[in-house]
Amino acid sequence: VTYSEREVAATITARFVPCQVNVQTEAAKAPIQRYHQAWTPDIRLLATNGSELYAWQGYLPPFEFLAQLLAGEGNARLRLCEPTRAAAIHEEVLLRFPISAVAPESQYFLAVARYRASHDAQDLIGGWQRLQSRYPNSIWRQKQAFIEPE
Amino acid sequence: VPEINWVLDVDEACQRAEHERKLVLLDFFSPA
Repeated sequence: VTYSEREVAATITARFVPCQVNVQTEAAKAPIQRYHQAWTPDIRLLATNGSELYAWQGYLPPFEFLAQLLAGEGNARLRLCEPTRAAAIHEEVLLRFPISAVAPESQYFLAVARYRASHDAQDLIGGWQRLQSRYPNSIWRQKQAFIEPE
Repeated sequence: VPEINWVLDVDEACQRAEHERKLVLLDFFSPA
């Protein structure tokens, strides 16, 4: 259902090489073993050497799928040592999908990516303070709560 | 609606991704 949505299909085609494995086929045995796949749907974002950079499991409707896809791309780019590109993608998530479930994660990693790009602590602290104000009940707010005063 | 042209082999997808400077989206699915 999600893949038949125009924006989902267009985003996948523009930004990724899409690869689909039917887990009920003989050909799926090798990738299942390689990626320790256990349940469907199971989405992995891979580097060009095949290493896994991000993953999620379970069905998502189009709005949440797109937000999750871009947040995953942002995190993948951060792990590939491309913090400026990662920050731009997380900014896109927050602009286009500010009420999505993954938005607090993007707010967290936007701060990390900006800090990794600039080495300016204020980029990290300021971004996390925005996380505190925008998504106060998020688990990602708790993950930076050590910087908050008692 | 644009069709997604799925690649069926992970290694082939990785080679294409390197050429196109993209990431691979790998979807494990089970037909309904």
